[in-house]
Amino acid sequence: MTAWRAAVERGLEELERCFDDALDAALPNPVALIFSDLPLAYQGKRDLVFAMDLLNEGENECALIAGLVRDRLRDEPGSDVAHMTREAWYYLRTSIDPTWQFDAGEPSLPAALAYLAIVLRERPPAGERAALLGRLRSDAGTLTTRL
Amino acid sequence: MPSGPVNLERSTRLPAVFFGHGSPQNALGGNRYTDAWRDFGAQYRPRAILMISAHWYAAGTRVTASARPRTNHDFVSFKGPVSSFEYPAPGDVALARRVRELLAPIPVALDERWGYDHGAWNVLANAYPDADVPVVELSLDRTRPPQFHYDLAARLAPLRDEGVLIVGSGNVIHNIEIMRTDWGAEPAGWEQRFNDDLRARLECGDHAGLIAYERLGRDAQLAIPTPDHYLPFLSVLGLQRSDERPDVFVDGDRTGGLGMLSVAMR
Repeated sequence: MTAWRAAVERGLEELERCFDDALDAALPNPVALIFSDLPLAYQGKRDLVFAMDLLNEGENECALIAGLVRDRLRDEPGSDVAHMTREAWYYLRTSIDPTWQFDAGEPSLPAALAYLAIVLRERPPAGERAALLGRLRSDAGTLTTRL
Repeated sequence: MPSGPVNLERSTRLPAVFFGHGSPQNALGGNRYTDAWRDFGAQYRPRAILMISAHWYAAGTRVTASARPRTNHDFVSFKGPVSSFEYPAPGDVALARRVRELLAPIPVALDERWGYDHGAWNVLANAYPDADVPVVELSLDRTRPPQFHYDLAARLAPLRDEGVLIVGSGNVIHNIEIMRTDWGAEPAGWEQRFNDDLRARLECGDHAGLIAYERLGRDAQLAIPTPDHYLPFLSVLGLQRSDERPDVFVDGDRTGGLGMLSVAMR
């Protein structure tokens, strides 16, 4: 497994834990329902998180595509997923700032996943989010493009 | 260009056509784009239509397989007549199975739930307003790269000799953020340059360059921020045969950021 793919796998596992925590905090908790027993998996939890307005449209689309990237690479490890990475980044950027077109940097799926986890856990103010995503992209370094 | 309705007993190959579909409001007609779609439809009488629309962008390859597909109103920002518009064309389950057969071994799901999305009905309501030609929709697989869509469409070529009109519906330029910001503006420099470049490549048959649009620079990035509206154009390119020319029968942009080019391979 490439370092890039391992980073995406780790990022999605962490994001799924964030989904669990966010849903645990937001959903009613009747005795008869043990939420963690429901066979929702990553995409089902993402759907619920979006339905509860804990992610906006662009964030949700990015999280959806990231899950599809993982599925595609698990099915066919050599698949071309560059177009999906760009698309996920586009949706995330436009969820923060519609002038995304003027951002000349490379898309980074590991940075996008880290960003979504922070958004769910810490709800940073809207005005700080573009800088946060930029920092995370810099931190991702060589993982910005697929290795 | 054919001068009247094609008699399928005499000439069995139908064109492959890409419509730049624009807004759902185009279902109501009344502009030069919808007039061109109507004129195109009047020239051909297919036994069925296979529709590849930007708005069925799924995780996998799927084909509609119900006798009476519903009309999907898959948008939130348009009110009035289009929000309840109905396009009651029948489905064609046998054609859906034929598509699956032609695409094997690529897995193709027969989908009984999806109906006609607005990428389908806003052009067909003009080209075939009586809704009496059966329609089957084929999804785009968002997990696959551009080359996959070009190659997949090429495998559907035999349908053109079986009375099936294969239609791609999208937009070669589709930048919603710019469209919202600069509504009604003249096309920007990047848009004009990209459209000119695309038409030049189309004319000289540079399919490889058009498939690899992500390497065409910043203008292409602005024109195609996500693949969904461009991929149906690649599907129609994949259906062009060596003895056919691309016939751009309407082109332009009413809103800024939305290229309305339509082209037929015939």
